[in-house]
Amino acid sequence: MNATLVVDGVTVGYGGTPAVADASLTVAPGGFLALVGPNGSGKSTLLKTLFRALRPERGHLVLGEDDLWTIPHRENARAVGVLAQHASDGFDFTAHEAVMLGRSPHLGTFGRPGAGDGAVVRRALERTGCTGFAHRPLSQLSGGERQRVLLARALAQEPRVLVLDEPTNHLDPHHQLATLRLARSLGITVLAALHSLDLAAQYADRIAVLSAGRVVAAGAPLDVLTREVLVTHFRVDGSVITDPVTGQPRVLLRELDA
Amino acid sequence: MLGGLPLPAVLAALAVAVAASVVVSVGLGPVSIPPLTVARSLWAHLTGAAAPVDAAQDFIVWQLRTPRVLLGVFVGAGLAVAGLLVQAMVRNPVGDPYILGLSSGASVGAVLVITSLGATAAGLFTGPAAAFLGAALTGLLVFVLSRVRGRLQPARMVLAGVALGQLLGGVTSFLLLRTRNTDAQQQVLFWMLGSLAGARWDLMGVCAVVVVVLLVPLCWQANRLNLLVLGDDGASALGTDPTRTRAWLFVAVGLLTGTAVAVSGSIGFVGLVVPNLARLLFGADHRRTLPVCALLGALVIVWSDAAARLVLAPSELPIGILTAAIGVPVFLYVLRRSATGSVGV
Repeated sequence: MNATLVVDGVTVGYGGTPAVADASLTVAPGGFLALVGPNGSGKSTLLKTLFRALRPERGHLVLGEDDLWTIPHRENARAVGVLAQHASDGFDFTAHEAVMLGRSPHLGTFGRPGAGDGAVVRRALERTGCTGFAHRPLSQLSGGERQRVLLARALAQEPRVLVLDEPTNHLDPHHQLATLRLARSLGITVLAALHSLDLAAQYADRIAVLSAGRVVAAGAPLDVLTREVLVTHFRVDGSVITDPVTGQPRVLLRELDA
Repeated sequence: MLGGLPLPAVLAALAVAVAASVVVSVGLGPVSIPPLTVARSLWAHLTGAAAPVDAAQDFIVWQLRTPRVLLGVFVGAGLAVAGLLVQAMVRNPVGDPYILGLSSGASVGAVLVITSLGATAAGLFTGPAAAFLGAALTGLLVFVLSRVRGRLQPARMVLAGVALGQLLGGVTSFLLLRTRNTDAQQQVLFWMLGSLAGARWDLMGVCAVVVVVLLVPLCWQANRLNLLVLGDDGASALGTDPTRTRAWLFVAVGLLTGTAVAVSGSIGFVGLVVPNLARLLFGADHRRTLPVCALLGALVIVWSDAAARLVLAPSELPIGILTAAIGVPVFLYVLRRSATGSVGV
């Protein structure tokens, strides 16, 4: 099941100047890579090339043996589970229906889900804590509840790699930690764009910094999150300390020149 | 509201309702014929047995009214499904098949033929053919105009369709004002409000084939509509290419709408109201909504046409007035009743 994800020299944009230029990353099988970077640095754009929403102008995306842009589109959707930003709810699906859509790439010719699909969806709803509101329409859910439904949908794809774009958006502290813990505990390869450097440092085993469309640093959290990187690319000052309770790296930020 | 009911039961109940409505509706008109007599006559024709009913009644049933009522079934199904497809394509529940300018294109075709050849010649195959051609050309133009760097953008689709529709509407009005033939003017007005009065077995047959041939693959592929309303990123992430899907849907909408408009004029409201009614009653999943929509559309048109024939009998009303008069109150009632569900923008 586990596969290495390789982003190899990807250049991509929306016509005109590329939003991401010559980006290369590797996520080890079962690894968790956090993609961090300031607003507009190209995180979401790069992630879009993984789920076939945006074709790279140059470069390759390879999962295990498969080039993600040459395998059939449905096969890509079985390999790559996605929680994207600014997702639309559609015409008011219930949470259960929305998660069942995650089974789409697995359905047969007639597009009717079977008992096996139902079981996968139930499990995904349970793991994300959505069972209690599974039959409510998305329009009646809070932002955080919807975000968890989207995570459940990505899990229902039963992917080999999970692509998460700001998975902690709208979530309360408990669910922020629970979501990242869940993503890490699945044992599948995870590539997540995160805004919180502190969460990235705690949950990711590797961090890559994207700035103005280029990968400017990549490696273990302690190696990447240096004061120089914070100042140059994030325009903040800060320090990385060790959590006295968990022993994990934590990031404290301050204003520059404070 | 009724989303929990099993789909096969819902479809069976609606199909029975459509069949019963056809039989009852064929009996309605200036000469009233009891449903049992209608059923016997229809049965005789379908099985090839000698009709056990009186020849005059049999003629009215089989030659005059059955093709018209059946045309209503397929036009209603086609327009309602076309509306549902457009709403999914543009991800907006206020979409309507006419938003793509197709009916305005068809009107120009029909008006050109009616005003130049005269009202009688247009009643033959030329009128519908010109209307279909007008719709098809308009569709093609909207399709080309809404493509940007290989992608079909929903917002551009609507803007191009609405803009072209306005232009073509102007052309229609101009042609209409220029003609001195009041008969032709009357006929064009009737055509623009929609009517099934031109029904014949051959037109009904063409319409039935187009609707049935398109509905079957659409029902299989209905889950793609679910993915499309998630937006382009969502559809891509779940294995459906949004641009290719929209292109195929565009062709389907063009064929369904073009055919319906060619044989019955621009019947309003069905394409907008029936899909929303289906969603309010049975939920947002297109695997349920699509077949439900087809059958509800058929019901709405069959009963609107019956009313169009009866309200001012022996003269007829354009059916567009009736679809508005019947469809809209029913829709508003359901809209108010279903306070729990949102309309789903």
